[in-house]
Amino acid sequence: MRSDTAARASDASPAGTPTPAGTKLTAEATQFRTRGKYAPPIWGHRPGPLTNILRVVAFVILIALVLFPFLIVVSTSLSTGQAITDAGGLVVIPTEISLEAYTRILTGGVVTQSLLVSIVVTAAGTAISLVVTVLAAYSLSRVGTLWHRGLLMTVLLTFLFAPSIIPLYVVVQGLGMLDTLWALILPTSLSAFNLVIVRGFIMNLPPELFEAARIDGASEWWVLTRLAVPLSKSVIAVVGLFYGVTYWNAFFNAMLYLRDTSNWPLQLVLRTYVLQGAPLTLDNTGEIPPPSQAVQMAVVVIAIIPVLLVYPFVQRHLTKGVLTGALKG
Amino acid sequence: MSDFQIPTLSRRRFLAGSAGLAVSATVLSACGGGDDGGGAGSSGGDGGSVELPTFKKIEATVMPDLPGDGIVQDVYFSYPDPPYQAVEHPTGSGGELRAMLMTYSTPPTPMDQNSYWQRMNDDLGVTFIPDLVPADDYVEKFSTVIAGGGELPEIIQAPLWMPLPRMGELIKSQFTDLTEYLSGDAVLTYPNLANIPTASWKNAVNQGILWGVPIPRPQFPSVMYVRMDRSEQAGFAEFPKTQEEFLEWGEAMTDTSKQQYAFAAVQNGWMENAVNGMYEQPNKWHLDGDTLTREWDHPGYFDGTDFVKQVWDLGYLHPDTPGMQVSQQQTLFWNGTIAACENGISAVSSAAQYPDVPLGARAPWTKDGSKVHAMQNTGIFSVNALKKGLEKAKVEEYLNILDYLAAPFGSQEYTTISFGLEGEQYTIENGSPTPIQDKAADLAINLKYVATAPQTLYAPEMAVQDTYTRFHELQQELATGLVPDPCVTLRSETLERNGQYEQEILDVRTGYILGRKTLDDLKGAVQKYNDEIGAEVNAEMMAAIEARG
Repeated sequence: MRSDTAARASDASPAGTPTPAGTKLTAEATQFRTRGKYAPPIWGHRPGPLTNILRVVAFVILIALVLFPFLIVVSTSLSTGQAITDAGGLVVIPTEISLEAYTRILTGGVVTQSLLVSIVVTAAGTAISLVVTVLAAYSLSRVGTLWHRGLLMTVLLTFLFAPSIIPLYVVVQGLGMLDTLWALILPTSLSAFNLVIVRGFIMNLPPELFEAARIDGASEWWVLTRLAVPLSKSVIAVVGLFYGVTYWNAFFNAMLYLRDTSNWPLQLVLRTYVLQGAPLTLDNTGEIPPPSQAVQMAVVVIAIIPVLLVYPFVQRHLTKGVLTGALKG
Repeated sequence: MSDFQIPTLSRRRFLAGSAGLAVSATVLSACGGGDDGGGAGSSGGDGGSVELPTFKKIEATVMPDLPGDGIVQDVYFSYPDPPYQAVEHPTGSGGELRAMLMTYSTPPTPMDQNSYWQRMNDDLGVTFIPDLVPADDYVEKFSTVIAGGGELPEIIQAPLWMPLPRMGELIKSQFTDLTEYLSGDAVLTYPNLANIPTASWKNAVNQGILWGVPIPRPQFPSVMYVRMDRSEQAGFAEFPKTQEEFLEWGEAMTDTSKQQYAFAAVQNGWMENAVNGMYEQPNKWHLDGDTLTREWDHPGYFDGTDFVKQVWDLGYLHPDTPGMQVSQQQTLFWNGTIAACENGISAVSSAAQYPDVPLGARAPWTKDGSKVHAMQNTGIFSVNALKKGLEKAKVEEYLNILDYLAAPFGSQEYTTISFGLEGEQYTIENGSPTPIQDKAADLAINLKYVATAPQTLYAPEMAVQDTYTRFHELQQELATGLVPDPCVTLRSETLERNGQYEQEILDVRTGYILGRKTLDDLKGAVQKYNDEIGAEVNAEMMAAIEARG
């Protein structure tokens, strides 16, 4: 430490000027004191211009790495089949803008119909899921209630042993939900992961509040609806986002349980657009297939947009909501 | 393309028409019959032989411009006008007909807004309710629906190139035995089903019964597609036949300074049809009396690998070949970066999209160019079964419906099934039915996967007619040297559970070609397969061959 500081001190002195030993020591001592008492930590220094430039370069590179694939997706979706072939499969900057891929996807009413289904399923599903999750989380947060431990273990067990496809199918079939939209909502309406997050958050609320309310004669329902829920808004927003995105993206259950294609949600329909690129459509019916690469990329764009729209509004709750719950649960 | 593929690739290639060959042995459930099949005599019963349905090609009133023969496809240059009526018998008697089918297309227009669907319901005499499953999810849905134990749809599509679980048991317990309805001359009651070639029917025999109706496809393997413009620029009047000419041609086509290469191949494919032809390799399996051997038990396997290594070392293959996907290969081919690549026989229909590119193809010739040696395909897309427990009258009714759907090219029925209603789903332009683009979704109820006639080639455009004429000649060449796979449609459980052995052989082979592994490594991987599972797999396959009946 000593020699370091000394070296730095001598560096600081004008070149060629010999520094007396005494001065050097004083300078060293002063600097030492200054660092100990006033100097900000190493990351708190104002960066020099060079560091700033490096930082900007690093950020630009990082952002480019993230955005470049996205640019390719958008550009390719806007290109003609010929331009894509000439470019070797992926277009960076489109030579001419063609909306053919989007027109193709959006005409015919199939995609718009499935969009409607997706919105209904996502909205109803998220609402049902939130109600179920909050109810379950609140009751499981009340340590010492009837069968509390057993019920909690049962929920946690589903983390370890997720039911496989066939038992789920048999249950859905047995309940007569095949070919109904309920099959897309009920089997996935409660996620153990989200339940644990909400439960953790509620348990972390000040217990004095609840006790005070109960002393004043509040019922459990009153405590839940007037205290626990309003205080857990942020975690409910986040879990709602999780549920919403899950419902929005789900296609597998729809594939499994729905026969009537007019009930298919958007993701399953979009998936068929991606698979459509398969050369089999070149049967001898004479149909000229779409520029499949462009269509696939257009599908990616369409599928991303809704989540991009919702995310900024919920994002600010994300850290607060999840971390509080998760760490102290 | 390759025998050995990861499933996705093989599926794609299958789609491109390269079918069974394309399918890796692990995935291969399909096994039809490399034997003579269909001898006369008894039917039913375990191990008994089933008489295959009699093949009777329909004598159409409108002759094809280039007639085929059940193996070679018919080629038409103009649409038969007027279309003739192919089906005289009644079809359904009301009620619903449900079918679980795979789909590559987007969902159909709902029935109440779909004039095509309504018309087909009228024609078929039933309300047709398809349960459409995207192709990539078909195996999961198939397994779940069958394991779920609920009521099955009346028609179940079984794409045998997918890893469908426990087909043997399924065939016995869930599907109707169609032997008495279709075996031998019985099929003549359904003239359009009798128009399906014998090689396709072979896939529908297992457990000693005839258990379904095949969706026929050409029996040809992938062939090497060639850009004739580039070949002619370099002064070649003909495509290379012998191995020597093949190398000369490769050299002339490759110009790395211009980023031009002679060949490309999909991942792990290594132009295997061309190479297997040169070294006269068996079609995956070779049955000699009671002895079953794999392709790598033949010296041609290693010689062929060495030849590919030579081509790779010479730089005639596109550098991306080791990880190439079909779509990338096609892009490189059509933009002229590569001059030749293997693709399914049906991929020729993409010629219509690129009328400026003169398209040719090379058959897999033997090393000295004296004959064609081509790996025969399954000749099917799928086999479609009827669920068990139907009354005899219902079975006959459904077979009548399948017969209706299998009406051949040029008939009124075919025109309606394939193109829809004139003015609604298609218009006639220059005498040719031309689909209305916006109405394509009406046809997506996939009746062509319930039953269909053998495919024909139809080219109203002049430029494509030349291409199809060349491909007709090519098919005739190919038909002279089709090598069957003795185990087609059969499967070995041990092999399916131990896919890693074959994968290792593939990986080490690719490693050897790229210079990362030695020949001893490759022989070691083959030895490991033979030592650890070879005997068991062979025994299971032999048993399956006997059980097929």
